[in-house]
Amino acid sequence: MHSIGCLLRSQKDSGGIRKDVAKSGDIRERIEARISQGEFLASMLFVAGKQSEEVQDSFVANLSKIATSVRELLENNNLLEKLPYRPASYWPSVKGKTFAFIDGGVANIDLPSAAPIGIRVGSYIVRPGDESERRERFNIELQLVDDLYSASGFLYDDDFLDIAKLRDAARMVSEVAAAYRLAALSGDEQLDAVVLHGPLINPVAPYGLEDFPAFSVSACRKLLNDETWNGEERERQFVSIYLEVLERLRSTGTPVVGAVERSIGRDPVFTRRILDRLQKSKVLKEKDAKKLEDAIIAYGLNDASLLDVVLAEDEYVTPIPVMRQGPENKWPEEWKRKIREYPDALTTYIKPSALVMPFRVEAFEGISDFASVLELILHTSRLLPSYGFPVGLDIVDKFAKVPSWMSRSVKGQHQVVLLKKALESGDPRTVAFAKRVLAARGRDWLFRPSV
Amino acid sequence: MDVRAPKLKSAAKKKSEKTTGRPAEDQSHEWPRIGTVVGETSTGRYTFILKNLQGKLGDIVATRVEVPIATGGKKEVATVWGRITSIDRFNPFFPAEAAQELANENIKLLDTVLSGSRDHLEAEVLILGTTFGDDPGAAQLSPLTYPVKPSAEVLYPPADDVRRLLTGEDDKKTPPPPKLSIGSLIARSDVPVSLSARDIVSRHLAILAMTGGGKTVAARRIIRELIELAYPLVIFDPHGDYLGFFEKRALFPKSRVRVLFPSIRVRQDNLGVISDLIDKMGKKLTDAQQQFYYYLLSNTSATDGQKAVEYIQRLIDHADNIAAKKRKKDDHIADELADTRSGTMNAVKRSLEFVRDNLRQMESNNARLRSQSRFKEYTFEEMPDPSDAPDEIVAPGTVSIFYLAGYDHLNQSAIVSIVLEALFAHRSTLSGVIPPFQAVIEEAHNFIPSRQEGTDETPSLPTIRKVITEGRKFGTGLVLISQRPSRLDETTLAQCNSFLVLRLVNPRDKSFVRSVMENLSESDANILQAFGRGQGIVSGQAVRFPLLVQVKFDADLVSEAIGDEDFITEARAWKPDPQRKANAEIFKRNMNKDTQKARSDENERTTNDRRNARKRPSRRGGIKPDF
Repeated sequence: MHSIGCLLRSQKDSGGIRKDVAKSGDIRERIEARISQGEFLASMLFVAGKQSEEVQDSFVANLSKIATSVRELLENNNLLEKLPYRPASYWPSVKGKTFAFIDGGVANIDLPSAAPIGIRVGSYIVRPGDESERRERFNIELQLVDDLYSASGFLYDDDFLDIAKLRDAARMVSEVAAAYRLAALSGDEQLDAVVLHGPLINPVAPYGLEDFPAFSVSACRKLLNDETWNGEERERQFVSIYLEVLERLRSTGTPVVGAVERSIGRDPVFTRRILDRLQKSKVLKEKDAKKLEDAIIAYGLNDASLLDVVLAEDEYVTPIPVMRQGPENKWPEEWKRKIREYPDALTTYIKPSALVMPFRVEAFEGISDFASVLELILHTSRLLPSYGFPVGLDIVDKFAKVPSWMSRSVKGQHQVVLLKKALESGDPRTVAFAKRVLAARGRDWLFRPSV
Repeated sequence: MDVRAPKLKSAAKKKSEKTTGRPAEDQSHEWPRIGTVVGETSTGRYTFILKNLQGKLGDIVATRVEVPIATGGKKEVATVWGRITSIDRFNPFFPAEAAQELANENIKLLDTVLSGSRDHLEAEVLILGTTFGDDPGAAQLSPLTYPVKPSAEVLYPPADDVRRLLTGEDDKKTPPPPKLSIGSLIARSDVPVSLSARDIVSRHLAILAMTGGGKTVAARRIIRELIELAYPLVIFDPHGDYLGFFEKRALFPKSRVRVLFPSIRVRQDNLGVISDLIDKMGKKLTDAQQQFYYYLLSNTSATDGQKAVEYIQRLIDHADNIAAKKRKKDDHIADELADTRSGTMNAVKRSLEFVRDNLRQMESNNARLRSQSRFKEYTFEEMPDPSDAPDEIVAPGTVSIFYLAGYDHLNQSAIVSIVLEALFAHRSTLSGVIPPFQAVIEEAHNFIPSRQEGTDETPSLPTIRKVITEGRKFGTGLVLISQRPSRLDETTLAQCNSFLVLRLVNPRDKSFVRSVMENLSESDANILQAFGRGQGIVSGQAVRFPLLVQVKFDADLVSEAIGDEDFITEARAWKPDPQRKANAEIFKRNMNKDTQKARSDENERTTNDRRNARKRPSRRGGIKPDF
């Protein structure tokens, strides 16, 4: 890992103000380039709607000021790092190492009042420089299909109305579960790094609702890759089982990171955390931190869009631990204790090339040689220079995607089961309801009023 | 490949037993699976996802489909035979963007995390026909009447079954019908390919390929097979490509191989061709000269079998005679020549002399070529008169090779016309003098050129057209060989019932071949340019369906006398004739002085003359050119 913080500071010391001018010029250039690409449109509209005319007029100048301040703060506090992009020597240096890329695919099954869930997690394991047939392996690590009409209830124990939440929870836990299976491999099979598509540690509070169903025992055994596991219902709840899988994953010692392709929301969590840290270490005044944070929020900038103009090519912010669980007051009371046990995500933003937005990379605290993994992230991202995201994740994403034909057939299966159950019940009203649900249209020959 | 396809339905098996009269062999259930049918299918083609490295272009594959049969609601399992006409390969996991980066940074895919193994192979199959039951050699390959089922398995039949499919019923006949073995399938060297000899000898074959495509090799192969059948052959060979058959005649102890040199002789029945030839070879005549020429032709009697040169000499003498009479104002001159001026007569005479000299020159060229040291082991015979002695040219087990080198296209064409016309006349009048025969015409574009090439100058075109149209009835088959198909006469070529098309690159040639060969698919036309030497597609009546073949190369037939000339070595080793050089030296040494002196005197005189000439006033009163 190459720290350029000191270097930049020494340049500043010797070169004086002219360097600053040059840097702010770079940032302004980046801002203007991004504006021409339509990147800041959302922020501009946000400002236009909420701020004064003066602020709107000087959007570029003010944005430039904010970005320059953030950059200088990062430089001044050794929080900016640069990775050398040197593919010709890098790739031979990782010859024989094994990297895994993991992504989950969700079946798009849309059925009114029924909630089948189909999830599969694929892996792409590759050994650069290996010329044998074992150089690359594609595998479906986990497949979870929930059948709401099956008596045993495969994935979840109970029904719950918010299907999207159930699906999200199942996807998140199954992705880390797949990562755990791979990270736990040893001997010849041992991996040098595991890269997940998406965050490594997700906020769990939204899934700690009172009536959120627990996973079935068989689903938990599958997730933990442990056929003997036999947990209580509370242990099978998402908040518990997710933490259990994460802890097991962390304890493997294999470097595991999550790469987050898109930043959503307007909350600059990461930047705020940096300012907090600086403030806590007494190197930044509270009022300055507050002023900068307010300005960032006023301009509707999230971490990715701000760091996009702050960071230059091949740069990343020194990783810092970020607590991902949101404000404690929003946590469900009965899960507070558990949520407190969740690890922080060692987080950074990396900008793999000048053309693309930086993306977030998360790891467990104490990860061994994070810099090497980031070097891998950079080099695999540069293989897609204009997309700027690890190509291994692009490959596994295509592999794991649940094709629409598969979703269709799952849907068909569910329709058959539903109708069968309805018919078995013998109740004409249930049959009529089932037909209506399946046809999903009010007016159809099936629903002609009967005499 | 250990995966086995399921057994055929027993109904199909029973049906097969019933139709063939013998127990159905259950071999097909062991055919390896190589892929699965996907997408839209039709009764003409289908596509399938091919397993990695399990099949290749040109492979014969099979699949099964249930087809409805006439008696209501019943169905039968048919084996659908097809040929892989194209294979698309792509890797959805390998983005183009990454390829660009690999190229820019000069890194190997293998060294990175990129995936190169998930290739997706989509093969397109042209359906050839179907058979019912287990016997691929069923008498009739029926057209498919119901589309192939998407998701059906695609099978890879073993060589034996493919061979039986190619030969059809032939193997079951005793004796089996004669075949001309030409090689093997490109994709499978274990499956031999042969042509139906009967169809070749009666319904004509065209061998088309660019230079170096292997057309001579293919023609040699077919000729060799015909020789083995003791079939009479007449080969018109403009470059001596087939003289090797004479050189290697020991290989064919039962046959007689002759090399003949042409000799254009006049007969009453070919007088038209000869007069036409003289007309076309000579200088352009005016109407008056043309009239005198016709007078000469009709008043100069030809002796049957007389050499054309001698006949022309007689025409010249006759013209001389008339001109002399005209000069002497002799009254015995024919009335129609009363107005013919001496100048006209002399012009016709000069034209005839030109033709005579030309013909002599070509005869001597041919003779000089024949007398080359490389032909010292050869016995060239003068060609027998095809009208009078056709049986000396065409006889069972006889191969007559006409060595036409040294003659120009027009004369070669006249020779082919004269010979073929005479031989065909014998066949078509059922004179009983000669047996059926096969004529091989190399460089066919010179003998049956298309309209754009100036067909009116080619005497052989009407002859070949006639033979190709009517030859089937009279046992006169043709093998046309050409490297420029687009320059061939389309009507004539379309009469060929079988085609062997080897490598073709020229787009005009390819599109012409497609227009002539009805059953050549677009994908087949596209692979013509990719064929290697001796690889091609054979289609038409001589085979059950179009096949990609690798023509067998007969190394033992390669002539030592005729080969690829090595001009580089020849030029390097070349030394001027010492005698010629010495003679030149003598002149240089002895005559040089005088010559030089004479030249300087001459120069001086010329300069003076010019000076004097300049002094002379212009006749037109000093009009100067206006620059």
